[in-house]
Amino acid sequence: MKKLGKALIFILILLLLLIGANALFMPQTDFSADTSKGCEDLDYIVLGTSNVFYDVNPTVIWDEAGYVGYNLSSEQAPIIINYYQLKTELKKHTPKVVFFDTSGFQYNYGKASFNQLSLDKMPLNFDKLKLISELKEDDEKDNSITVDNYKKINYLIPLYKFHSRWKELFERTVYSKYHDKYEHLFMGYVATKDHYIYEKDYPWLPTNEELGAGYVTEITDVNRHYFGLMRELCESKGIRLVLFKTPSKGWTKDIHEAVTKFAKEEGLEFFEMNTPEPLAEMGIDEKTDLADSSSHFNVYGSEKISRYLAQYMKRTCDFKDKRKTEEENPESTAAIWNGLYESYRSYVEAE
Amino acid sequence: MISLVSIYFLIFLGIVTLVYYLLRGNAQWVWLLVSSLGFYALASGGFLVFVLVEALLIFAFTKVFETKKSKGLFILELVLIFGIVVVLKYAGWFGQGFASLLGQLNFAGKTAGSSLNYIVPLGISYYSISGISYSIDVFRDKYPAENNFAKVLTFISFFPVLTQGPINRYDELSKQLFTYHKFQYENLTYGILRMIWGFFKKLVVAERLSAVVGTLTTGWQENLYSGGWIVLAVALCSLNLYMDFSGCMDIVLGAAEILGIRLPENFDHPYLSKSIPEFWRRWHITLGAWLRDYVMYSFITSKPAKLLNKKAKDKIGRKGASVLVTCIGVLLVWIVYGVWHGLEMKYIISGLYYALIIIVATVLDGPIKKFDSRFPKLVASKAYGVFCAARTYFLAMIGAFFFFMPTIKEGMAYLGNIFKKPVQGLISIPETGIEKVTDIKLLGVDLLDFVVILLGVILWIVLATLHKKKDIRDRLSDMNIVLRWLILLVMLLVVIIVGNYGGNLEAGSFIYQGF
Repeated sequence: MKKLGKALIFILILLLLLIGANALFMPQTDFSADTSKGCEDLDYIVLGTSNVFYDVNPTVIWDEAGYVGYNLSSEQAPIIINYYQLKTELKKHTPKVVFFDTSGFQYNYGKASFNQLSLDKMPLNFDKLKLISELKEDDEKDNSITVDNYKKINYLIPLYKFHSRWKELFERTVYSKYHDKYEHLFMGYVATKDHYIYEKDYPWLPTNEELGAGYVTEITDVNRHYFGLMRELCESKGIRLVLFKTPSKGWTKDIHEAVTKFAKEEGLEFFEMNTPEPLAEMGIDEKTDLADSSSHFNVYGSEKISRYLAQYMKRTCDFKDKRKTEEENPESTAAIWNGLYESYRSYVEAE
Repeated sequence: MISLVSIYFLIFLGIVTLVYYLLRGNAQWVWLLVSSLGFYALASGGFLVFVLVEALLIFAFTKVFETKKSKGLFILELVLIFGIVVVLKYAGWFGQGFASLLGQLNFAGKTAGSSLNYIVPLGISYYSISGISYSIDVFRDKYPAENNFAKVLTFISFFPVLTQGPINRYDELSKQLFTYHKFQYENLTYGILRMIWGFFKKLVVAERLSAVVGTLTTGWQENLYSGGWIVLAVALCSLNLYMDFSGCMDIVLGAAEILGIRLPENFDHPYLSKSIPEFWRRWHITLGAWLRDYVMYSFITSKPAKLLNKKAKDKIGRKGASVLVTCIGVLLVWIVYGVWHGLEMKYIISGLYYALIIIVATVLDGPIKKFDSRFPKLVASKAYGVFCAARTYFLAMIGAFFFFMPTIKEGMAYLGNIFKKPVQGLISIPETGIEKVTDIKLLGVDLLDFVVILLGVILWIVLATLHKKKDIRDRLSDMNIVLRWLILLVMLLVVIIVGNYGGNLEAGSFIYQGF
């Protein structure tokens, strides 16, 4: 028994060292919102992909309508990941509405490299284990589905993949290099002032041929399944689920039509911003508002989208404007959110 | 695929060990059989059928040999077993056609003949010759045939040794396999320690060496490397082979030790050998012993050999006849050795290379002994010992180099480049853009990797030297707990963090697994 006790202590020390090594070597790409303050009376969560964390700024929605919410998005997250992210998140918070970005309908399981980033942000729990066991990968060539068990080990134990960064210890960049990837964060929104102009004039809602990409063009069984689970989850907690899609040059006509039809069949709202009318109302200017070639918006474009989404919330959601009701003490929701918005404005106005 | 260096193997071994020690009596070896068949099915899928077929053949023939020592049946068994091996292992080679064969015979073959390109059932050479050794022993009345087929199957398929040995003998392994093993803490810790050392050799050192050796030995195609680079390639090939193979053996022997089973050693500090015959008694020991006991012994005691000895005695005397028969035996052994690795000419030439060295040593045995007795002080000196070890290492290095080259012809031409463009040396090779030492990234590794290789080799030399005097694990056990745990934790962290695995660096297999 004495030997067993010693062995257990040894294993415990080793585990602690490995947890430390895991934290040291894992890329610091987590841009999750800090919801410890100001989110007690939560109105909404925005769930989706990079199109959302670059496009929807909760602090601008606050400024526009006084609503409280945050962004729960990660890089090219497929619907299966969004479902498990939401499931984990709803254990901490219960918003009134979940706004679900429909980008994930364009692929089934996505790419392992992006999925790794999503899973690295998730805490290790039963849901994460279940997600890892169910997660597969899309083959880039023909969207067929593959399984690679070694990638599953990487999801479960990031050190398995990232231990090779030990050499960067000698460059003293293991932490800072990756931590700085997303520098200006506002409740899960990633602000950037980058500027990009498409060389070629791509239309909004292009066809797959015009885009030159092989996206999924219909609601697949995989997506139908995990979206169904997400819907059940929201319904079980009395949360309204709204579909929406921010403007994107990568959002094809085929999938737009498929999601529109799907939403109708399911009796769900679909707030589509890629059609001519909302684009005109928002005043999106392709020459000034885009940040990169993946149709992510910079602060100027995202501000237009966020205010437009806030207006939609005003029209369709029964949220309380907390700017007017909260008392002006430093711990109050209004004080916290006003501070967040001011911080964002300072970033925008800085040289 | 479940590989010995994958996390799946560790999980598998953990489960097998846990259940193994919960079981009592015969249930333990039955569990080993189930686990071994499961391991093989996971690692090699449908090829499991060949393990079953071979075990069945061996079991059936040995039962017959108990009552009927028929040479005809014995030859039939050999033909059947080796027939399966040849068809599966060399099928692709036969498919190349005779053009390739002819090309290779005049040293003009291309890379087409490499057996490593074909899907070979995992461990087929290893479990086949283990099974054959059991058959021969029964045929020679060394011990009786086993009555229980399941036990023969357990011997053939014992999972730690399936990948690349060591090659076992039934009388030695069966005593341990079919005995109840009570859990012993020391077996567990010693086994784990040995495995950690194996993982260190394989993942930290051999995988990095493989990247360099792989780059340098494929560079012959474009004539990329010359001078010092080829010298480096020659030097690293044998080191790579040793670290890879002996690392695997440490993992295998450690895994078996956890289960309370001591497998035979396959390496005994081969690079300290002072002659090639000694080298081969210390390198791949179980294969060498197999060739000695089942090929050499069979030949020496055969009627043609006895007849030859008798006839030669009249012409060249007793001693000369003995040397002649020994030399023919050596030649036969090394041809079998070559063919065992593959039908490519490079393997056969490699076998003949060692045969030639050993034959020369056998023929010169008299003069060498005379020299030794005339200069006893010199022979006993350390400097002479170092000279002999360096000479042996050099010869073994050349032998290993040709293993990595597609054909003997390309290998020879590549070696010739050492002298053709020596000026470019280690520092500057304009064709590749390698102009200074820091550009070694073009070799598939960077400067830090070279530092890791260097430190790994230094650690290996230090530990090997200490181990010769006293088992390193005994030394660790004697240390106080703080120092012992510190060393263990550092070693584990080095393997986990500095090891080349995961991501795109998955170490799926071992070099010798292909043979």
